Amino acid sequence: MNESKYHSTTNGLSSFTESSKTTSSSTSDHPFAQLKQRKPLKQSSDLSSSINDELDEIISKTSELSINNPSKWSSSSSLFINYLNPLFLTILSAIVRLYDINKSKAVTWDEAHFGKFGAYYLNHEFYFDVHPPLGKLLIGLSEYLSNFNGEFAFDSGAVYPEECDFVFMRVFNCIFSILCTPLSYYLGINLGFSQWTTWFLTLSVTFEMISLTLSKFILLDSILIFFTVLSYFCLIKLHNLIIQNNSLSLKGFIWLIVTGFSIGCVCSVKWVGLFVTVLVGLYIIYDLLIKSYQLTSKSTSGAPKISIMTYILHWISRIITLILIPFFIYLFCFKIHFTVLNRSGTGDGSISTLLQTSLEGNSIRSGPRSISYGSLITLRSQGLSPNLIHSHEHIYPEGSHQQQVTTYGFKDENNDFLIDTEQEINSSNDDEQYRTLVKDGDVIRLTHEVTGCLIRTHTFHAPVSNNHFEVSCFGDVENENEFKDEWIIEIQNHEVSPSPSFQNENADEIHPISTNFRLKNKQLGCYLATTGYSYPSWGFQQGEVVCKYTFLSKDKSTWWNIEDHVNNKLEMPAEAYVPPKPKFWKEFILLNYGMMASNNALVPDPDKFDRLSSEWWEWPILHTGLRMCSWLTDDVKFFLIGNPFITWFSTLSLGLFLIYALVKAFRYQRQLDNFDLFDSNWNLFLIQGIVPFIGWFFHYFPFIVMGRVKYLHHYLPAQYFAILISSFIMESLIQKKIKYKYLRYFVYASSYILIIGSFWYLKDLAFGMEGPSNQFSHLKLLPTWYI
Amino acid sequence: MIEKSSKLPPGYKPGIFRSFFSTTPSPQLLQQTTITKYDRANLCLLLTLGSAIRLYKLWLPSRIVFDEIHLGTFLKFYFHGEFFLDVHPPLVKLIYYWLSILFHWNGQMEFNRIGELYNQDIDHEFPYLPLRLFSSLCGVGTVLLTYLILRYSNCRSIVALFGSGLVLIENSLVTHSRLILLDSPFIFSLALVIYGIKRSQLQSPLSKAWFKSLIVIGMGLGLSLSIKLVAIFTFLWCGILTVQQLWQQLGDLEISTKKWSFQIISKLVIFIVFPLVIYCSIFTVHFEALPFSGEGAGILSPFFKSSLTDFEYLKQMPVDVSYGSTITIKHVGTEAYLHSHNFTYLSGSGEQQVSLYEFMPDINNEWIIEIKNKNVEGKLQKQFKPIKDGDTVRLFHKATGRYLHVNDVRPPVSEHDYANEVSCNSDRNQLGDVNYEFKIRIIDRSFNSENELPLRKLKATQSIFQLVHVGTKCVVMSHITRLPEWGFGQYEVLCVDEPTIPNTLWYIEENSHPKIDNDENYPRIAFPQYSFFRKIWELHKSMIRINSSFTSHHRYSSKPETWPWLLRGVNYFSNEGTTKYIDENPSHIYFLGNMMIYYTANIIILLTFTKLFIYTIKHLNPFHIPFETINVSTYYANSFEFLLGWFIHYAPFFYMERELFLHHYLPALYFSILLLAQFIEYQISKRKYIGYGLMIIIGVGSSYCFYQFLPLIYGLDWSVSECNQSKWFSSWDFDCMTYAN
Repeated sequence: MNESKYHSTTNGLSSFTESSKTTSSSTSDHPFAQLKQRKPLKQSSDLSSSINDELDEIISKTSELSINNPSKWSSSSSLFINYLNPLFLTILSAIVRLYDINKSKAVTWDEAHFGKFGAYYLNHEFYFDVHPPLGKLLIGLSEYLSNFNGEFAFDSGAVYPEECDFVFMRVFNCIFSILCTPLSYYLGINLGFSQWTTWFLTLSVTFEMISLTLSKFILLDSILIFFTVLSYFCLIKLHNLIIQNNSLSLKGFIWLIVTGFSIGCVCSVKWVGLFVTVLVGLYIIYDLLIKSYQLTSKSTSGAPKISIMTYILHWISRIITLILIPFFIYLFCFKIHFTVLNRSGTGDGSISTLLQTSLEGNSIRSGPRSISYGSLITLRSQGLSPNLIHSHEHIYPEGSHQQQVTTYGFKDENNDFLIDTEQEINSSNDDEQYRTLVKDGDVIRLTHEVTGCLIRTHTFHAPVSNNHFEVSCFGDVENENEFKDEWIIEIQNHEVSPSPSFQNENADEIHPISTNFRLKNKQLGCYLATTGYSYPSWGFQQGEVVCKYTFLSKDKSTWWNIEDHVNNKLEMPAEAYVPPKPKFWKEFILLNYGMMASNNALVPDPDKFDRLSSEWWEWPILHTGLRMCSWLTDDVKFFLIGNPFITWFSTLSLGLFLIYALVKAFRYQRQLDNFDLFDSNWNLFLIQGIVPFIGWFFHYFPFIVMGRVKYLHHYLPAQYFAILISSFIMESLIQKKIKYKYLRYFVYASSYILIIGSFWYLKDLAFGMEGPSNQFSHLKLLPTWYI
Repeated sequence: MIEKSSKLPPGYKPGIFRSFFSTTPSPQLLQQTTITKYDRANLCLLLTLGSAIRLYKLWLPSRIVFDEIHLGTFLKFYFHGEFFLDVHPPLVKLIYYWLSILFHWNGQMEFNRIGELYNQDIDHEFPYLPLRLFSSLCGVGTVLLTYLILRYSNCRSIVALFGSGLVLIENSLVTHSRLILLDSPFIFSLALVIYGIKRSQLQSPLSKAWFKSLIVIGMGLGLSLSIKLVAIFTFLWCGILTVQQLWQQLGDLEISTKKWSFQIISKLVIFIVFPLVIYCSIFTVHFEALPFSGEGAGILSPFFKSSLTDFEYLKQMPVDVSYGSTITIKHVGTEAYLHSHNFTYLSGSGEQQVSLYEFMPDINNEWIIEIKNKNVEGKLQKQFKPIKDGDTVRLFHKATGRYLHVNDVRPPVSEHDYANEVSCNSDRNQLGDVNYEFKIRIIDRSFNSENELPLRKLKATQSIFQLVHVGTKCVVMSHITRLPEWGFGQYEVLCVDEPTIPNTLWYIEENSHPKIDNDENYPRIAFPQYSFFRKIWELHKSMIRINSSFTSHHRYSSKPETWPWLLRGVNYFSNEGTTKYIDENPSHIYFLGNMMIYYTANIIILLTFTKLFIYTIKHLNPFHIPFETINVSTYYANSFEFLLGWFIHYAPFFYMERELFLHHYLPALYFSILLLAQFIEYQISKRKYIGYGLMIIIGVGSSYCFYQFLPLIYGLDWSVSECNQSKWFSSWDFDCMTYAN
């Protein structure tokens, strides 16, 4: 009977109910009995070394089972179960996803971004984006494969030119989405669902319209959802191996590697991937916790004993595969990113000076090698938002009400500052002054070239970081003597050029690009610094500049370096300057922080109506959809909305699941039911219900507390987990509870019809609507849909 | 499930599948927590000491200290029955009010400035001593309750004495219990809740005594909620503990399911319904006490106003709005008036400011609604011509004689591309110009409208409408962003292209047109009975709004992360500088905690957290139940409760946008002292000498910290050198030169 339990978890036959009952009672009586019987299984799977062999194993088990239950399934059915059914469903999925994929010949929705980013890889131009590079690298790859020359700019709404094979790019992207269908099918099988429920799951995934619509375009979402599903699939595989006590085998190790690979990829596509990573992490912690209990418990306690060696091996294998591998994949993506993008591009303004100098055709105005009074410079922060210091003709609405000082990620003339002497030195000879070099410990003043004011600080608290001082731009050079304007230079270090002719530069002078220094206010003694926060709308979301006291001279937020340098009075170097090489690690961290900062700066204005964005509470009830393109009569119009039946039913299922879980908890605590850690009763509930529910929660809850602007497609991963919950509800409330066979069939059949039917009714929204929009007004199921 | 019953740890019993923890308190525990003669003696001792410490020189200083100024102002409002708004519920203010009546105050005193003398009027002196006495007695009560709480949480008498001793001499608690403030009564009611919880845990569920304890909890919750809304965290704490306890009892197979469900119901009723009844009845009294219009009446809805006696004239207003009507326009979200005054913007166009203003009556809130063409003064007042949905109008600001206007320049604070500045400009000679014209777009009707008519014709208080600017198609709106100082901190009004709807809604409150004002043929505004719950609901919305608009930067406000480290205190009162009173002793009241207690508590919190973490991990082990004595289990259970209390009363402040002060830490501090005592008890039971040693060190240290800062607590004389020596942190900014002669 124990044998059959494992078959049922892997094959999900309808005889499940009977077999699991007997198993659970026997397990609770004799926890050892189960283990003993597990051994032969373990050996047999040890032999099977490759993934493909696993299918054979399933087949062999199925055939065994069919002997036990000859009335239900014939041995030929395994062919259907394992190959033909998923093949059929995949073809179905491919048809609905690929159908009319070239219908819209214009750049639609975020193709304008991601298509363009992909093209940057072909052109090797450096760009900046909030998402990690893997997804865009893949898009770049598809563009490369389609022989795209990189000349089309992907302007929103523009029609693709002849030579741009956009269909290939879209199909490439679509394949990721199509692959979710067979993955979901095998997921259902591995979760121990019956065929009926597996079909329900797979059909739901296939006809889920958010992923379906998004899969028709060059976007990151298909890639993201594919890797999310793959990660979850791996987790299930791991779970099955773990409950078979088989995770230290070669097969276990292979699956661990695949898991690590998958979570590495999902995190390198979008940071949302972190949520599924946390889910995997929590499961692993749970498993290791049980193992440590097993390790420490006395043999009399009934816990299956494991040796200390095994325990350590479990730790090591998980650390290597689930921490190191994903991390290296993530790093590797950035390595490729930096390597491929070796020309100057749109992202120049927000990267460190050294990285810019390594780009071909960069826009740095590199002047004489030493700074003097009168030099025109731009100043770049080395803090976590490495932007240029900037000032413009807008004042602080609070505090001093003087002109704002910010950091800015783009190059313009408002970034230019002049270096002035301190007040007391009033040289009559301008020329001489212009030739006086600035040295360590000198006092300078910084004049804003465009508006003529001076950078200063005072005891007003900064607008965002209240515990630091505000920095403003005020007054002019002719001012009364005010120490507030005066800054003392403290050189921190000097990065040496690889070229021999520049290696003997005086470390006491300030050299553009290579000297890192701090600026200490003469009056207050605080240091000019960046905080990484951005100002509210009145400061145009630019970075905050403060004056702060710091204990550590290594505090990089107070470090600055000079980027551009213009000075006609000094001699230019005889040969072109060879800048030091940028350090990968430093640039990696800075870029990631920059991504985080600009992600947080995407804060919507609550007063402005934004037709595209939506709120978290709207997603599970399909309150609003999303127009993906302009709505003119001639356009092919796409409206992003979930499949009503699938979304509403899965939302309902989430509620039902909570009730179900509460009832279970009640019965457990009252000892009406028992859960045993190694018993299928518990493990099925865990993996079919609890884990996906937590997955849904992790993919949904962060959006509730997040301040940034939100769109409907952010719900896509959460929707996937909600579908898994709805499958669990079908399995445990319909499949297992309804005794009357034909009623059960009826319920399933009608759910299939509803899934496909509601898709069919709304198919124009996903396939694209041609002609005037009022032709499609019947598709407006809710008055809030903006069709 | 595995171990034989003979080997089960104490407190566990064998069940069907596995053993379970019995929630019935063991006889040993009951015996240990019985109040003995010795305890009564201790209580008497604490009462004496407490009274001495809390009442010592209560009259010093006989001047307004810190927030006493607010309390005093509110008491005056009660005296005159003038409606006001405050972020705190009214219970303590009412108590102070009754006390001041009892002591023959006549409601005459100006509360202008901190440091003002209380007894200006010899006949009807403001009875600040009895009021302070009330606060002090709450403080003494807290000390006594602390003793009982600790006894009931299985601390031996000496530890309970030690713990309540810490509460007794904790500088910040002493300082607050000597002044006319809300915190001392609040901590008292918090202690009442904790007392009830600890007591009920030792009683058998559903017994008479158990119900009594539950009622104590309910009362404590009700009182604390009626004092300060922070009590929501207390509710949360209580709720989590209740759920946890119910979960444990569910696992106790000795308790029948029926009894268990009965417990749920009684707890639901007593913990939720009972406190809410108290809360609502306090508000009923509050409304009864304030029948007249007052300072806070401006931001009440007209329906609320109609329930106050001063607003009879609202009911005389005609409901129909005509061209030429003089109106006041209110913003739905903030309930403030569209306002303009004779000051100009210092940004953008530099034209006359338009803002939202929260006070009334004010001539600058009045507008005349006019036709879109040039208009001769007084012409529109000659005939009645109603305004319909979709009409284009101009709004004439009566006091300054200018028209409402939208410029294509960015507003002063929200400088978005899609936002325009709203100003007042031009005069009566203005010809037709689309930049002065607004289309009335009626969106909704309010609850007092009897039919659909307000959706078609503009009706005062009934039609809720938008003002769409004809020139740029933007919609006039406002939000709780304040203008800079030159705009007097009033709310910014702007015009946004395609805005979200909630902040763009307006309605007309006051309405007057000479033609129909006295004509009985035209209907008046209908004011149906405004129910108590609508009142409460409206009031709480404004309370939350006021609370969140406390964002200005007070000199002594601080960040939550600095509180446990006592980086800086708050100067409550000082007799110094230009305001120095020569005939009085130099003195300071500087709110500061007891270093020893704060820092020890911090360490203990960290330690307890680690210990609890390990403990939980151990207890999650499904294969083995750790063997431990009843005392140890009780220690961990109590530590969890107090640590949770500390966390829940502290963590939410990190997410608050408003400005915060050190005294917001007091409830959390109280929990941390309880936790500290628990820790000492545990140490004594485990390692006797270390435990007693720790107790003595902490006791002596905290007494020293208390003694050292006596002058700052009681406002006593000090010497400059002693004062300077006591500045342990340079950031403690009490001015020692005060004590120089």
